[in-house]
Amino acid sequence: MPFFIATDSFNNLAVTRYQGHCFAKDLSAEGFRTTLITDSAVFAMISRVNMVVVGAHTVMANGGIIGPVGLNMLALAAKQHGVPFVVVAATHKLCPLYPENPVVRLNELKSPSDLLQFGEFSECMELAPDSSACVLNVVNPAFDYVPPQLINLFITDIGGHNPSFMYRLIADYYSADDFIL
Amino acid sequence: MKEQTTRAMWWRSPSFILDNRQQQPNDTARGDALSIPLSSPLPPSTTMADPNPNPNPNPLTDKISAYYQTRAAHHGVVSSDWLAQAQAAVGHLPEADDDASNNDQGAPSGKPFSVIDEFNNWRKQPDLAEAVAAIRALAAVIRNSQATTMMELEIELKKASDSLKSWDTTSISLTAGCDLFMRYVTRTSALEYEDFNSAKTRLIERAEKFGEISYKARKIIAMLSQDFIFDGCTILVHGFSRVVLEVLKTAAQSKKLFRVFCTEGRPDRTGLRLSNELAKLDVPVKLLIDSAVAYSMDEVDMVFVGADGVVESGGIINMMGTYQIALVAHSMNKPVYVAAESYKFARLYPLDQKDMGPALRPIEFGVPIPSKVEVETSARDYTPPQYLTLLFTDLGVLTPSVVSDELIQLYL
Repeated sequence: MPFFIATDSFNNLAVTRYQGHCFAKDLSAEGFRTTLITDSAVFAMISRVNMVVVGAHTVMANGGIIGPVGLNMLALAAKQHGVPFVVVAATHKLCPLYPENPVVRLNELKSPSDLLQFGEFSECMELAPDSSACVLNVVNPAFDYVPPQLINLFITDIGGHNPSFMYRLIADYYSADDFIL
Repeated sequence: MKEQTTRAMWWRSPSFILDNRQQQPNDTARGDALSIPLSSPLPPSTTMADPNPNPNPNPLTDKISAYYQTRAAHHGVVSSDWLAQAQAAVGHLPEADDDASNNDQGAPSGKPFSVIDEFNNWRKQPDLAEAVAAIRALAAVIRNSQATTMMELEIELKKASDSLKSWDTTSISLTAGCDLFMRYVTRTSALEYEDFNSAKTRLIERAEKFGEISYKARKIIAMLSQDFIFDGCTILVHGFSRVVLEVLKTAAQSKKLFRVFCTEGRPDRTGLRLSNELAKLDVPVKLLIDSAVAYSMDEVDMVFVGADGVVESGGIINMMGTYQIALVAHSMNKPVYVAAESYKFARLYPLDQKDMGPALRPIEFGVPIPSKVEVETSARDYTPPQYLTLLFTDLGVLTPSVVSDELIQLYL
C-alpha cells in the first residue's frame, strides 16, 4: 500500500488555495495513508520519497511542461535526490509551441487575495501616505515551467514516453501548417 | 614521413588511422602547392583553374583542405576588388533555362557536359551555398543526359554525384546535399513509368523542386526563428553563416531591437565580416575576441550559430570554437540555437572531436614560429547535442533528439 505525500498548495488555476488539503482528504477517503506537507518542506521531505507523480497544465513541444506554481521546485528537488519525476498528462494537453517563443505566456498573475486579504493590503498602503505608489508589491504567479531535463517519464493515454519523444506525438496530432498560426 | 613525426602526439586517437588513409591518396596529388594568402582576396576562378576535371584539393606540401580553400576563396574579406570580381562572376552566370536550351540544341557539338564545370558556374554566386550549387549542377546533369534508359540515367547521376563529392572530400554539406538529392529524386514511383521521357521529365521536376527548396531554405529558417528573437535581447554569434545573417537581417527589417556580440573568429576573421554586414543593417554590434566569450556570456540572452553539417546524434559540426561557446553557454544556462538547412543532415556519428575527416587550414600568427612547434590547424569541431537547445531548419524547429528521426525520414 503506497504512502502518499500531498503538498499544501497543490492548486489548480480556477480554484482557491488549500487544494492540497482537499486532495489529501480525497486520498485518505480512498484508503491511502497520506501525509500533508507545505511547499516549503519539499526539499526536507524529498529524501523520503520514491517517486513524484504530478499532472500538468500543458506539455510543450520540447518535452517541458507548464504546471501549477511550485512544480519547478519539486522537480529540482527530485533531480537533486535522484527521485523519478513522472508527469501524467493526456494527449489533449499537447502544445506545438516552444517555451522560448514569446507568444507563449509562461505565467499568469492571479489575484493577490490568495496571499493577503484586501483589508491587510490596504493597511500597507497607508504606510506611505505621501506617495501614491504602493510600498508593498504582491505577486501571485499561477504557473511554473519545468524543463524537459528534469522530467523522467510522461504517462499519456497512449502509453509511457520519454520527454524527447513528445514532439512525435505533437507531430501526430498537429498538422505542420498549424504550428505557426 | 615528416607529417607522421609531427603527428606523433595523437597516435592514440582512432582518427590517426583515418588521417593515414587520407594521406595515401594525397601522395598521388599534383605537385603544385596551392597556398592561398589569407590577406589578399582571391577570385574563385583562379583556385579552380585546372586542366584536371577533378582537381584533388589536398596537395601534400601545404595540407590545406579544400573545405578551407573554398571558404577562404568564397568568403574572403569583403573588399572592393572582391566585390567587383563577385559581380563579374555573377554576370557570367548562365541562366538555368538558357543553359538547358543551349545544351539541348547543341548537345552533340561543343565540349561535353561536365558536372564540375556546371558546379563551378553555380558556385560563383557569392550568395549560393556550396551544396545548393551541387544540387543545381546535378539537376543539370539529368536535363542534359543522353541516356535512354532509367538505369543508365541513374548510373550517370551517381557518377556525377561521386565526382562532385570527390572534388571536396572534407565538406560535409556537399556530401550530404548530393546524397539527399539522389534519394529525393530517385525516390519516386515515376521510375516505374513505361515511357522513359515522362519519367525523365518527372525526375527533372523533382530535381528542380529540391533545388528550389534548398534555395528557399534560408528564408524559411529566418521566418521560423523570428519568434525567438525578442526586443531588447543580446545575441552572441560565432562564425559567418549566411543563414544566421539572414535571420538577423529579417529581424532587423521587422524593426526588432536587439544587439549582437560577434566573436572575432580567428583566423578567418569571420567576426569582422559579420560585424561589417550587421553595421550596414544598423544593428548594434560588439566585437569580442574569442577568449572573451565567457566574460561576456552573462550579458548574452542566446547564442546563434550556423552549421557545416548536422550529424545523426543531433550534434553539429561547425567552425572551430563553436563547441567551446556551447559549453560556456550551457554552463550558464543560455540557449544555443543552430540555424541549418535540411540538406546539411549527414549520415555521420562522430564519437569524439577527432573522429571526422580532418579539415585543416593555415594559421598565421604574425610572427615566425620555431619549426619544432606544432600548430593545431583543424578548422572545425563537433558540438554534442546536449549543449544545443534548438535547431532551426526548413523542416521546422527541432530539438536535437528529433534530428535522427528526421534523418531516417529523409534518407530512407
